Amino acid sequence: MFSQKLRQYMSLIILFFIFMPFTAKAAAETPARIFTGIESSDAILKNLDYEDVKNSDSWAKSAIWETGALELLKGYGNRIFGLRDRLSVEQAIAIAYNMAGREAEAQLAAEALDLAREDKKNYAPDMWSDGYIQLALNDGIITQEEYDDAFAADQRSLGSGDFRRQSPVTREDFAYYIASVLGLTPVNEHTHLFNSYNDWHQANPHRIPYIEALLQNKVMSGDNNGRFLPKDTVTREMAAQIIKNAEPLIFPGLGMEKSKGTIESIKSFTDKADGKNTEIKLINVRKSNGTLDQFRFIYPLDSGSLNEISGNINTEKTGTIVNETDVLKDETALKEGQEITYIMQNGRVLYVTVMNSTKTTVHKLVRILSVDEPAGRIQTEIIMDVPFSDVRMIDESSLNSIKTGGREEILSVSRDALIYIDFVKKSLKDIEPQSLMLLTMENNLVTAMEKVNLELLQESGIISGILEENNPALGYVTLYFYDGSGTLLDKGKSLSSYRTFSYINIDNVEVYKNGSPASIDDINPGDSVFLKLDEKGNITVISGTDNFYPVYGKVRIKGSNTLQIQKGDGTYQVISISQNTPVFKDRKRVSADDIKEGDDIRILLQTSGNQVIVGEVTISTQNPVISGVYKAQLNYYDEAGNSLVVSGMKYFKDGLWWQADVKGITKLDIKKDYKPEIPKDANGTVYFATGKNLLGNDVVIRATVVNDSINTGLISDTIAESLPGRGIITLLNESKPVSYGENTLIVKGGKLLEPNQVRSQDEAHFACSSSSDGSIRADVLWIREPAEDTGLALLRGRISGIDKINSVTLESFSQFNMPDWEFVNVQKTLTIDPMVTRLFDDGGRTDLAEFDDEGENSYKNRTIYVLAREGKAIQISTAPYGDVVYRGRISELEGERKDSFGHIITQAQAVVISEVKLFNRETWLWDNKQETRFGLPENAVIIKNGKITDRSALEKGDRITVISSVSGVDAFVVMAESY
Amino acid sequence: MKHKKILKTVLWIMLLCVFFSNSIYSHAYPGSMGYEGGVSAADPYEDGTYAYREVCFLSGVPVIMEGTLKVKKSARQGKTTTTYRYDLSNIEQDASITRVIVMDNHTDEKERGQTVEKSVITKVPVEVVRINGVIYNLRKYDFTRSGITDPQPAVNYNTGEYTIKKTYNISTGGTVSVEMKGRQYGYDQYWSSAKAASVDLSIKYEPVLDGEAYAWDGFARVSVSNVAKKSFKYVENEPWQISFEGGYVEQDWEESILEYNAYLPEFDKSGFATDVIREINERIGLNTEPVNSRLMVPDLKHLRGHWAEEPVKILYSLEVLPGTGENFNPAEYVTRRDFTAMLVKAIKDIPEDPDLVTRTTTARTPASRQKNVEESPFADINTDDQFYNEIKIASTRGIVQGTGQSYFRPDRHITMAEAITMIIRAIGLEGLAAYPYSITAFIDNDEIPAYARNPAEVAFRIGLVEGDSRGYLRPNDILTYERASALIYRLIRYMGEDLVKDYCDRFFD
Repeated sequence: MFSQKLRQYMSLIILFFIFMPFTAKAAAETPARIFTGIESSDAILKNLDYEDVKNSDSWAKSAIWETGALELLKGYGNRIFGLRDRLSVEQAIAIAYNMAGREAEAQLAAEALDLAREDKKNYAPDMWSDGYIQLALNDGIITQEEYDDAFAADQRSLGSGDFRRQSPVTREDFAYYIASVLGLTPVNEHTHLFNSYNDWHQANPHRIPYIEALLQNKVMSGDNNGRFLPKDTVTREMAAQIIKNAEPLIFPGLGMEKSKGTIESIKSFTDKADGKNTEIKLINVRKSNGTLDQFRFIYPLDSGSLNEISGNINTEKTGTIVNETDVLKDETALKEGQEITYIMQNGRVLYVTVMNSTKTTVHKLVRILSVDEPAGRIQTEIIMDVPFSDVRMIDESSLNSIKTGGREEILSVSRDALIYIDFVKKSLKDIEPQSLMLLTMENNLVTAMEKVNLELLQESGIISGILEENNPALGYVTLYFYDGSGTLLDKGKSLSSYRTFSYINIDNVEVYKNGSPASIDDINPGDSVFLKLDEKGNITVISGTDNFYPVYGKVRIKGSNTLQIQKGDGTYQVISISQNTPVFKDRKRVSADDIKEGDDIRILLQTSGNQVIVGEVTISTQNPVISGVYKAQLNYYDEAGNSLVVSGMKYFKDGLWWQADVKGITKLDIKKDYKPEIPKDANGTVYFATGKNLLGNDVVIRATVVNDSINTGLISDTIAESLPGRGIITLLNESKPVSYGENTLIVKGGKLLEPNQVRSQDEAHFACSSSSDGSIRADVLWIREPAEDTGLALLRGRISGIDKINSVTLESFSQFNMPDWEFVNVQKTLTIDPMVTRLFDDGGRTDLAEFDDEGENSYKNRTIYVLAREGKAIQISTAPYGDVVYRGRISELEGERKDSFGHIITQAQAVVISEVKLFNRETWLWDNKQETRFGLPENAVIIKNGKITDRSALEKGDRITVISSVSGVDAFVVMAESY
Repeated sequence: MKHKKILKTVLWIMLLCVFFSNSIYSHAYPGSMGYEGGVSAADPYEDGTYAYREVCFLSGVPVIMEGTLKVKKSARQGKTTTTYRYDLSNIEQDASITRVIVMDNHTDEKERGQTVEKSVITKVPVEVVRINGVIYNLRKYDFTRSGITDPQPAVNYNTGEYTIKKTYNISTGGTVSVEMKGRQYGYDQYWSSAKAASVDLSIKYEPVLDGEAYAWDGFARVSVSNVAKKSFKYVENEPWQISFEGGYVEQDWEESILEYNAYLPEFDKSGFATDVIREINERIGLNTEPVNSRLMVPDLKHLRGHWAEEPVKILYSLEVLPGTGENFNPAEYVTRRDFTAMLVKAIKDIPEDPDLVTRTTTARTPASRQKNVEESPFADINTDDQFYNEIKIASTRGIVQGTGQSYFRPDRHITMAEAITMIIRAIGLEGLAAYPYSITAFIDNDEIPAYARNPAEVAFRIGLVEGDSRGYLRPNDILTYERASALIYRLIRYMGEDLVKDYCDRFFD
């Protein structure tokens, strides 16, 4: 028990020590800033005690008092403000200069004028405003004529079109005076705020840029009926409000500052230092950002306190003006716990407003996520809590670092909340998502919302968005709206002027694309662009980056400059390509002609509305390539295991069926994403194509089952006409048409094709079945790819000379021209290229450095085979002379050994051919022969399908031509063909 | 007593901090393919063991080596030590490789939860290559690697670069040096994971042949990828008299592909290199047999033939939709609560690195104690809400945003736009859209709330949504269960199959 208590005490002690430093710090906290009161506060308070205001229900009370306390708009001096008095021209000009802090300057000007005036007697106008009018002339705000009118001795002689200083000022003129004196930039273009008022046409066109500037700065606004009333007069009450609205603009110039905080403590003490006897009142105000401000007010306790050094000390009372619920008071009205706003100048606190304590009013800067209009709710992202309802009073650094990803909140909006968008009163439904708004919330209910245009706080003239159109011919670009909307025709069209930007001379515009200098033509629709505009709104810099994304698909139909592709999800898309579109295959640039129907391609696309731009096309070489076409007896289709179980497999090669190596029953995997249409109980013959899957294994990629054929047959013919719609092919020699369709395995160039890709004039092998009705159906349609002419010539001759690693000269030569050699009795020099030319000696591949006509191992006078192309020796072989020519099919390759990955370990030593025919030079006929075996010496020349290769390329079933000697032991030249 | 409670809370918070900071880095690039340009596929029956293949160019002719790679990772004090042991051979070619590499990975957490990883070799590596009687003995091994992992709510994405320089002594005299520069990309998530790398090898041969020293160079580019996938297969029942309908089987398997383009000289009969360069291209694969897991069979007889039958059935089978489905109404509107729960259950947790041997037993905070400080992220979600855990996960992982004072509005019905935004946020791909706001291809582009415009564009591009037959997305329509199920099902398919394509096809097209 005891120990528990002890532990508790110990904890407390520890806690005390932990927190002690903080408490000590709090007590010792020195205010960040100290402000004194103003000495004339009592007098000002008395002056501001306007009889006509305090008993009225004026909406502008706080503005009147605030502008009065700040001496921006003074009363008449008789405790009358003149609420409904109309502001005169001279008053308007004077107010404008007071707002700019140039009152003293006007005073000096007036004194100078008065001194210079000779006829003081007849000078009728009030001279109090002379200085202001002089300044207005100096600043070019009024003309010399207007100035002369203003100083006309007899003001009554002035006509209605003249400048009468005591006439009521119009709203548009007042706007003009304020905007020009304050040096606001007139907004010449995009005066959309003013144009949104329905009486904009009544305004003097020369005043509109100034009105727009004031509207953008929220100094003036229109009435609730959408009118600006430019020709209306201005009452003094309105003027007070206008001045107050301009505070954010004029405070910096006047050295004034507005803050908000809560009164944390009020302390008084008596100060008797230096012989004074005063009470000093310290008011600590905790600002909303956490720092501390302190007000110091001084109250002399006895007048005329004495000081032994200087005698009388004149200590004046200092205080301030306090507005508490629209009643003017002095600083004694300030109480602890009050929330206040206060205006300071030169270290003095001029005016304090006590916030309504019954309402908890907060302001928040939010991003609107969505608006639920019927429910009166908005989903928002809270960006920051702000002290004022005016974004310009918020410190800039925090505004500049606004980020997304704040917390989300759903807020309720009062039914009669004031919603301002671009300074025009709007309703909830007009709020666009993603706009920034400043909310005023009273008791957790949104009572006012105002759209914040942060562009006003930043350097103007930077525009960003997605490019909709680039028109170098007419020199303009159009962007979509910043938030990505603007594709709907009505909205896009009607407001397109806001998103269209032009340039005068493209040579003066800097253009960047993807970070590098570029031409204007490189900027494409769909690009993300930034534009920098000059003060006239013309583009000076365009910087864009592309937004390509990959799309995968299979080419179904290729037009002259279009591709119809079928995407992975089965949908079709037609895209336009040109000869300039970059096309890649095997990581090499190829031309658009290399895109073939049936190719799998990857396209980089960029879309902009309904425009599609193709960045590049990559032809995939992986998928539709087949490794073989087979037929077999279907034993079983395993749907769950996705495999076929077959027996008696035969493969199709060169228009014939060949027995496959495997015996017995074979299980074949089907490609993962392919599901053949094979009925559960199917039996009969299955025709299938295999291909490599991504892993490099052979799998079934297409299969069809045929169970109604009575007869099968093979046809080799030329296609006269193919009608994919009717599923019929007519042939040149065969009289009966052949039907074909989705179930036909159509192969061309090692790829599976669709029925509509079969062209007339193609030569093809058909594996057909005939049905009971006598019709012929193609089960396999193998289209021959015309053999490539590689330009390769097989020569044989005796070496007369060798220029080492440069050329070889034959004294005369024979050229093989199927089926015999043709002798040419001329010398022939063939160049040697060490990067290309291969030399095969009796022992095998030999370094070209040894190919010389001098020395011990001289090649001079030896006869060689040369495979030559365009005068260049591609391969040189010392294999013996042969002139006996055989033809046949490879039935066996002896001695070939491969590892489990198909890599050759030892090459074939001999080749066995069947269906042998021997060329009879006497009769010029081919004689039949027995199966024959040929050895393959190290320097045998091997060609397959017109290309030089080695023995590893030979396959069973290849049709070959062998050049051998009379003995018929070795094959010196093997020319294989297969397709 | 109160202080004791405070102290206890403080202690728990400290413990939790330790726990979380400890467990974050384990998803860093797993490196289960090693860095030698080979491919692996996990052995489903033995932890840390992979079937492995790589191509060896040391003899001047590509030789494919096959065998096992054993990976062992242990984490300690902010670093992971990984041991790679390769036992490879090609018996027909009379070739073998034995190699042991030990490296330390140091991780450093950066802003937005990204972790940056650096790898260094800590022990002298061992490698002996034998090809056709010639032995290549590793003499020098330099390795530097750096990677970054970006964790998103449902997917961890990672990328890295590395350089390896190796020099071997040849038993017949001379040396071979190989410089490998590799780039890797990958991601980890529940439904699939992918690793892809492309390695450029520059090979410098300085062999001694017939007592003569000479030199030649070769080059190869090796592209490798490894994917682990999950897919579903419907299996009908053979017998008719059975209490439930046919059901789904989840299949997990791994596939690896290796492709190389090599440029190597042709050799003469004595083994000297000639000036003729041979280009060799080859692709080999490696895969594991699928591991099947049977899923629950829901009771959805009343949906038979409905267009959304398959998505709904699979979501029930995967328990993404709670219950067995007999009361499922496809036309019912989905609340935000229910959709969030579906989404969180569909994306699941990102799996831990299987090779990592963790030794932090103390860090397992008991769930019951944790509840003492349980605070709901939303003012309108009680901690005893049916889907409290899911909504909390959605909040902590950043799929939905909450702060304790904010409102989740769980009972409001969810719109298409909101659903798409949550999904795209979950897979962390908002950034694929154009800056600042994409123009989507939907006819009703302008109707999409601005916050959902980029997610909608991304969802369209990756095939999660495609609009109706007239090209309308109808973003502000409330989602019914049938549409929500189709959407979530597509997400699962995307995460399981389509995302993989971008990682493999990039290298193999």
